[in-house]
Amino acid sequence: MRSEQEVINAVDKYADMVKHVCFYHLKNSTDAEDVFQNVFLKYMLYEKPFNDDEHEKAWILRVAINSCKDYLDDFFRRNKVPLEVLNEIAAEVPEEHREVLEAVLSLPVKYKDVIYLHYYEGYSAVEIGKILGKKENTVYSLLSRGRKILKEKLGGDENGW
Amino acid sequence: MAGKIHNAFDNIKANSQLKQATKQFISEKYNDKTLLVRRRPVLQKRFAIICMALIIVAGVNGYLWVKTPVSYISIDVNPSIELALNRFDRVVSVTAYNSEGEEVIKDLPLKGKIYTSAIDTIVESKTMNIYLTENSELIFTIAAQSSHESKINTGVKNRCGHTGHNSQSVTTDTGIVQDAHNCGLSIGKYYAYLQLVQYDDTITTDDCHNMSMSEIQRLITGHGHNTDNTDTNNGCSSDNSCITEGHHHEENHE
Repeated sequence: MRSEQEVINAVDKYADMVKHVCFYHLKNSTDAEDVFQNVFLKYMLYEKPFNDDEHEKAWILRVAINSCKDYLDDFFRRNKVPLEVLNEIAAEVPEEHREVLEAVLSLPVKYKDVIYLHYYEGYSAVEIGKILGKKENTVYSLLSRGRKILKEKLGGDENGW
Repeated sequence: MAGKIHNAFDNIKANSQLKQATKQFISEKYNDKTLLVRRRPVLQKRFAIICMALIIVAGVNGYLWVKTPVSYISIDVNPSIELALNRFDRVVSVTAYNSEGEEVIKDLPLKGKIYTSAIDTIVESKTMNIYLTENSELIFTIAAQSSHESKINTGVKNRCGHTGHNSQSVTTDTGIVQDAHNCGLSIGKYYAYLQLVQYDDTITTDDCHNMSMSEIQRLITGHGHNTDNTDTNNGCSSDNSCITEGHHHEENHE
């Protein structure tokens, strides 16, 4: 088990990243808080050492994504209308970014992860493949289709994404 | 447009309230003993698996140790019976080497008994008594590790004295056990065969299989080999006469 200080440091370091993952996966802030805390609980209980910071970050990302998916596996949660999230966006995010976030949130789940990991975290298709446990070609394909859907929603040049 | 996604997500922050609540949540977990215990299953599981494996190995080895025959007592008249004994001198298996032997041991509770008690049970059985006539010879042949040989021989000699029949005990080494079994003979009959074949190399184990011990003994005697040796006293009890021949050791009891 990791020390309490290690976990506190990780909360400070990765809180925003985990929040992003919870945000684009989950339907409301209560769900997000549950999963958010569980991610760091898993980190606390994970005993194997990390090779470096990048390894640690990728591990937390993978755990956060999987935790969200597990949480959504509940049929009732999966079918809830994400009204609260949209309302939260309205409250937290400036007008000019709201449309982009809403477009990302409306993507099918399989595209959300690759779009976030690539465009926000800056991971390559190979790295995303490792984090998500998918083949590189599958990641390229998901990125391409996700980009196309976003373009349709937001307009603009697809290649410019 | 890629920058737009980046900028949009930059507006989503984990607020200090969420961070604080998470730190509090984690802090509480450190005091949760049940969680700590629950996290040990990997170690506990490994430990349990190792323990189970050790118990199984010990159990199997213990079973084999107790069940492996280390000594044999062959009881031959015409019925030919062999007791296999474990390290504790208890019967682990009983084998009849002819139909008469099968008839004798049928329904006799011998397994698990100490060998002296098993001998009594066999010799005192009604079926065995049919074969224990005035002219018959009851021969006990013992094949045991040297550490057990003397003890078992003493026990057999004591039982010989109680049978009230013309009996004889022979000790031999365990080396002949496998050969005897390969020939389908008890070690007693095989030992007698080895003696007889010295004088008549036309005799076969099949021939001996169909002969009673008294018949084999008569043939040996007929070839001039004195197996009776009742006149030779070389240190046995005053009631018994013994012969020592190499590592083989014969004693007659009446």
